[in-house]
Amino acid sequence: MLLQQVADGIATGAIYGALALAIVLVYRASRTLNFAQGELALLGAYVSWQLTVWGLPLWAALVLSMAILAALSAAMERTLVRPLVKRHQALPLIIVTLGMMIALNAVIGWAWTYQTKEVPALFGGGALDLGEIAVSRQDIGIAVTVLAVALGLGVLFEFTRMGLRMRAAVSAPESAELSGISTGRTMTIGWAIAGAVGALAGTLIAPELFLHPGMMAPVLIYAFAAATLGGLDSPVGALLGGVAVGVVENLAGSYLPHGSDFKQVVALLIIVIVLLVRPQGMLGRREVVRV
Amino acid sequence: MSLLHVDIASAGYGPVTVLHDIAFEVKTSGRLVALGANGAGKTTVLRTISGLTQAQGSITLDGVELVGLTPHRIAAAGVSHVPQGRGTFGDLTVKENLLIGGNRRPWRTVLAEADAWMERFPRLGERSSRPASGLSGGEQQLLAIARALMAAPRLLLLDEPSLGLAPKITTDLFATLDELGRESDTAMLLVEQNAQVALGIAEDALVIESGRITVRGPAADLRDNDDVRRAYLGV
Amino acid sequence: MSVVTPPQAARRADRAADGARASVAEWLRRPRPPLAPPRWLAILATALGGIALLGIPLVNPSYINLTVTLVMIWTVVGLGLNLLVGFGGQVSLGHSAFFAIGAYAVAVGGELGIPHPATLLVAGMLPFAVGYVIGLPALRLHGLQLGLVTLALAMATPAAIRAFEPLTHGSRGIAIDADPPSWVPLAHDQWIYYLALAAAVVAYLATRRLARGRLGRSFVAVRDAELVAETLGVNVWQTKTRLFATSAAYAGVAGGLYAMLLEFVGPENFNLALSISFVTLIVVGGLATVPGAVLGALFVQYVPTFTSSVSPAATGAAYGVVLIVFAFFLPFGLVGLARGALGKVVDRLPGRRG
Repeated sequence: MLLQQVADGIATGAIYGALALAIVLVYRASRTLNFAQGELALLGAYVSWQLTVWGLPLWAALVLSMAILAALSAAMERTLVRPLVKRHQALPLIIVTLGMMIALNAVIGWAWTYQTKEVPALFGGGALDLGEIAVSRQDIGIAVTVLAVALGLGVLFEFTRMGLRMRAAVSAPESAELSGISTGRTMTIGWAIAGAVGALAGTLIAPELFLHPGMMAPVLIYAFAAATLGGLDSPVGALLGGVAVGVVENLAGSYLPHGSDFKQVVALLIIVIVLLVRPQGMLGRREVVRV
Repeated sequence: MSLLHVDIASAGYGPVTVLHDIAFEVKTSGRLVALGANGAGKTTVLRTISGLTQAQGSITLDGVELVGLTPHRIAAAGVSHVPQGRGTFGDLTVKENLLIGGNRRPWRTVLAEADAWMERFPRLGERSSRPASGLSGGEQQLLAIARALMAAPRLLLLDEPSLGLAPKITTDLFATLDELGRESDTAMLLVEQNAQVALGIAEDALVIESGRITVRGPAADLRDNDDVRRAYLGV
Repeated sequence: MSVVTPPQAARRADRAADGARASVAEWLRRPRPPLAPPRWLAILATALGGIALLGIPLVNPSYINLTVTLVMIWTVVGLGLNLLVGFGGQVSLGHSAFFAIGAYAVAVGGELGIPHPATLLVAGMLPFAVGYVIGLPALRLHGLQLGLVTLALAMATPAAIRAFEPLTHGSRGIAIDADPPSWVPLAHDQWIYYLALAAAVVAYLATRRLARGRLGRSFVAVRDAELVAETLGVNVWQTKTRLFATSAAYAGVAGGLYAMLLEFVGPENFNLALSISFVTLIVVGGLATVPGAVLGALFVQYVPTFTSSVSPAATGAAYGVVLIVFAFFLPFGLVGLARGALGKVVDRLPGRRG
């Protein structure tokens, strides 16, 4: 029973981890949180769904949706975020991404109505029997896909020239600019990748939660908890944090009284406790406060 | 023949003007040192050339206007700037720091040159896959200079490389710098408070006080100039 | 840090800067001093406004009184939130939680048999205490982290209310009897109206005093330059926690009034959308302005009534677009706009000022 709960938690945790990864990529690029990250992922899920309705195979729809959301996220960085990042103002940035969050949600509701949509699972039905526990094909598919994307990004960051430039821009923006790196461009690329990863997370979780405009709000909080736990500037931390939060959420939901309600409070508690005890998270860098 | 022409009416940060009527040249493969006290505006001269500070006027590198370009475009035009406090990428490895320096050049060349640097300076080679933040102050300064030279720049800007280094290490560093300068045809513009060592490796020198150039001439002349000796050489 | 200049002098400088080079966007973004009307105009406006506000519930049907009462309730929240965000520079996306605590204080207090106007005090004190406790760690968090924590708080509030079922009766909610005491010859809607009016007036005057007084200046000092403020002898730690607690208390009183007005509380009344409308309120009205809370309250009360008749999505779209547009072009909200448009006219009016 316990093992089964942990196994179930890992799959949802992988999705939280993917969305947390998007949050981390944006944070690394612009030192801000994108409160619209969940709604961008939701839009990704809807675009995937729409494309399948128009007859595309789900895989192709997912890839196309990731590309569209990458472009949208990059455009958002260029038009709405960059000017405010340049002005060094935290509050307007929070207000703007919050505004994007509700505006996007409204646009989605207007375009696709508030009716729940059923999304076909990417990996077919059925479960694999592993002795004491049974894991659904869907869960395994999700975990493997997220892991593959994470590995791909790891290779991009560690072994390519663009990845090196992006890491340099995060490590010391001014020195990077002096070394001929366009930090504006690395920022936009960071947001674009975040948009694509978010679309993946949204499309993967849609069959589990059923697609409706309110779907992503609770997921976003778990993802924020995951990113905080892992360390806001650590991609690996985001994934590990996602799995940890997924497992804790599943256990809390099963074993605590009023579990399904307490689950969301658990996310809040994780965020608060981590920020107070170890604000840089498990794998993050300790940040020097700039005066 | 001059590589860099600087002729700016003013430069500064927002409403604060730091530099007034600064005009000078750096010769092709030449070495110019700018001396001056803390807050005189030396750093701003370098930051203005590399586009980190807004300026009114003209700065040309080989006839290409730099004023108004973003820092990364100026870097691409052939200016490498080692900022004050070294500006190494602390959480990148030593090797990655070198690679970043050459990120705009053919990758094969860059990999080979990075290896050559690490062979030449074994202290860097031994730590090639460790984070640069673990290096000592002198090693970080050396790494920052190597990184800047990896870009094969026309002009190298150095902002107080001696800052925070022990005298012995400073002497070694300047010897290395002198050597590196002789090997390449990279011009250098060096900003220093430590006039003794700086004048030792420079050809020309100028003194900046309160954002203006007050003295200029061959480095050897400045070493004999009484005012300069009193103010910057402590004799 | 802003330099304190007399309004008229500042406006002359403003006019001087109105040269050709200032773009419209710059003009809109410029900070401006409050309007300085001559005394006769201030007295006249206060008198007329006072008569109107006192008279409204006597001549209007109850549904009008209901919406005007809601405007006053939102005003109280907005005043408190603006104190924290605008003057204090600390973000809170979670004031719906304090609002909920106030509302439930009234509801549970009613169940325990405490008479209603008295429960309003609890509705203020309880969030003050909770705000103080939350404010303690909050001062260790910088802007983004505080935004994150309070957003999570807002999202978890309905679930938390459901989870504390023995106290809150979970999803069923609590019905409240908030009829006026027998010695008050008013209907329910009129009675709550006057209570809310009293709360709004007290909150408005208190906030104006706070904002202009020593405490307000120390808030702004902490917002703009924490280290400098500390060296000047401002206790940053105390300033921040008190600010958070005071702000929470405003929201709590407003929540209590809200519960008394609707005579019912349930978890879904206190969702994220409520918190977002609070933020929209202060952004639209004008950050770090006192009258902004009133204009913002009018906005969040009446714009949704209009937009929801267009489409269920229109309210969200309107809020989202308004938040973005104001953050870019009108950092001081409608009040900033009014000051820019009316400042010169008001300054030219004859009469003694002060």
